[in-house]
Amino acid sequence: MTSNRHLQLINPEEQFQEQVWEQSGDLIVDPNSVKAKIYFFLHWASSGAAKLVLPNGSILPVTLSYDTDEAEPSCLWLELPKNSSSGFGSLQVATVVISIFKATYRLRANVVDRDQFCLFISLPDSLEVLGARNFPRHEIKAERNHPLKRANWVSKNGQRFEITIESIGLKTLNFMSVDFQISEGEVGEIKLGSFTTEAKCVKTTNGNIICEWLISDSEYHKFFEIYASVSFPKLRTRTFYSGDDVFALYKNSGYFGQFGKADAFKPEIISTWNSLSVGHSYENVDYVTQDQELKPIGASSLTKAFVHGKTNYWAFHQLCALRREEEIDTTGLLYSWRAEYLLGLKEDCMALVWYRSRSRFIEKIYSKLARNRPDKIRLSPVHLVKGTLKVSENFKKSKSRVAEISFGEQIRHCTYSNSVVGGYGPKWLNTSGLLNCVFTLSDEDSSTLYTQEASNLLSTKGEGEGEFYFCYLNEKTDSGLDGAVVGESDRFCVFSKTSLMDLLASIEHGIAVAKRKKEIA
Amino acid sequence: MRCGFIIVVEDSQQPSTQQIFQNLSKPYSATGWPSFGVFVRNGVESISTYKWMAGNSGVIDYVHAEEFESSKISDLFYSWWLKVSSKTEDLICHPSLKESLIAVASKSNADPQLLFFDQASSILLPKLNISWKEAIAIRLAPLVFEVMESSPEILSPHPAIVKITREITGCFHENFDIRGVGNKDIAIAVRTACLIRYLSLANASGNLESSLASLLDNLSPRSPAIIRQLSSVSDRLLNISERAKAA
Repeated sequence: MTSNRHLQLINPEEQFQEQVWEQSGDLIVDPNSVKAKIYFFLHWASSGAAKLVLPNGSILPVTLSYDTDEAEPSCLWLELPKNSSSGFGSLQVATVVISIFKATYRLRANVVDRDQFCLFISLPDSLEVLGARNFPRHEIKAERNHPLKRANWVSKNGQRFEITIESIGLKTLNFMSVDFQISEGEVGEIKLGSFTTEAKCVKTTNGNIICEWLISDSEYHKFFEIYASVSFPKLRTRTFYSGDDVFALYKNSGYFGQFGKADAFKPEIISTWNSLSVGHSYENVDYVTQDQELKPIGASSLTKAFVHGKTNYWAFHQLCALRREEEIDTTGLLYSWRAEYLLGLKEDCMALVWYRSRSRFIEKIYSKLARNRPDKIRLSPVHLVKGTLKVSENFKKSKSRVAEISFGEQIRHCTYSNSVVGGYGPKWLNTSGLLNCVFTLSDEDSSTLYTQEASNLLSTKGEGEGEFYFCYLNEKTDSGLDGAVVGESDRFCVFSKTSLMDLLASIEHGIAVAKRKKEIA
Repeated sequence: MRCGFIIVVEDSQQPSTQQIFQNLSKPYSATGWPSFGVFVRNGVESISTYKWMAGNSGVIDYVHAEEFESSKISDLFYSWWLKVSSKTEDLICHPSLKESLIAVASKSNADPQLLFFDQASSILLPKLNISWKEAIAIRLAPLVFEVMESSPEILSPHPAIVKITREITGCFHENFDIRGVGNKDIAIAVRTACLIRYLSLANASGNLESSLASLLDNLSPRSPAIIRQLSSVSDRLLNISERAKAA
């Protein structure tokens, strides 16, 4: 027999996808919706956070729970941490902010009883949606002794002041200044570790200052490295490890197994990785996750891979992870850093990913989300056909537009015509060759158009033949590619930038579900 | 210790759908637990499958594969769940088996203590975090406890009953201390069964009202959930007791 079971609180009809999509400012008053959201929080409490807002504005972190002996909670418990020196005072009404999977709600409820460390509150009548899916922001806690906790502000007249960082976000920095004043609108330099950039003060309150980053595109990848060191402490740039180590990681994770023998090309692959990293690249970013012993256990890549009109299409690709059940959270980072990187960009880009529907975890975080956000995410079942294209002798370059993207010392060529989009090179940018690809953004595909765009790319590069993936929406037998084989990826998702916060919530929820399943098993 | 639920797709090949179901059911039946199945067809219905189902209550539905594509799939699974839970209760403790156990325990169907236990269970269990399988165990526990005392061999052909009630009847043997009713180290189902047993013994000795008053003394939102929920049903329990006395 089991105790502490509270799965039954969740109505199957009230799953994640229905729970967290309200807009900021919405007030939820329907009793069933209020109950469903509270129960949803209680169900996933270990993935959420609750804070009690005291009348003087100070905030106490609390645990929101209930007596799990009940079929449904008759009251809620607000518990202080065991080592807390604070008390609840004489609160009669509790204001609590709860956050779960990037959704935040404020509730007010009557205090019905109390002891030293616990307030017993009634179930609230309403919930107010706060800051739903804002940009991620990560606190630097004093006790962490983080090397970035102390930084410097250099004013326009060259004066340098020490500041204490409270939190770092993709768009803003929050810090405390004790011995100097900054006025709203003032621009200065922030020196954060080895990184220096301009920032503009947007808000000051009692020494607490919020600055907006003024980061150029060319500095962005360096900024993101600093940001990642706070938000994803288990993440390192690929260059942190030797090419041999990362190659071994991809091999041991089984990633190469899907794409033939990679060993024969190891020197070429490592050489490509090295040349992509020269001088850092804004357009191609690779991160590796590490375990407690600092050994690499997963890797994933993000590349500005295609262009259509003024819109850049960034590819989530080349993700591998060693099977370590205890590192589920770390695996989640391989998905989330890529979305956060794009969220911080100034450009209004799109993201795309090919994946296999065989993985239930990936189906949950991508496909299930896409089905619930069809206005923002395009999901297509696809047939990826890989083969060699030989440029016909009679081929004449079409009027397609061709763009170049440089990664370190390497150049990639992209092309588009109407809705057909393609990209080619550098070889081993993706070790499976997936980014040498032609696909459509419409609902129709055409072998002729694909061949034309791919030939265009090869001609631009001055090559007579090359290996391509053609991404079809319908099964095709006449791809025109020599030695054509169908790849394993059978899903294609295109995300608008505005859907990436939803994607982060979906990844967080997917990881929580995986952990819960592991606990149950 | 779980029921089996098997979905078999008919493909007109050997082994047959029925054989597959029977083979997959064996590990469950070996532990005394039933298994249930749904047959899925891709084409037209097979008369022989219907005939076979008529003689095998374990197969609860025979559906077309297209039903899995329907938006009503959750309703379909819910209807299967209802059938599985009610049939499991019947199979684990069929009414006729229950009557035999009552006879062995030298009780009657109208035994006031058993009746009170059953009625109190019906009122209190839905308020608490108790699964349907635990609810079956709680209802059976007093009877199984009596039979185990008098003729334990009667229960040997029914391992599932013994398994699901073992923890509860164990606490009955140990004379569970009612002050521990809020102790979360003990499963809520066990504590609930012991509380209901305590109340039915109090009812039998005419002390239900004072026992309830003692349990509900100093009631507050901080009290254990089981006591708070008992408070919300205490009047109904007293009513049941009064009506039984009047009858």
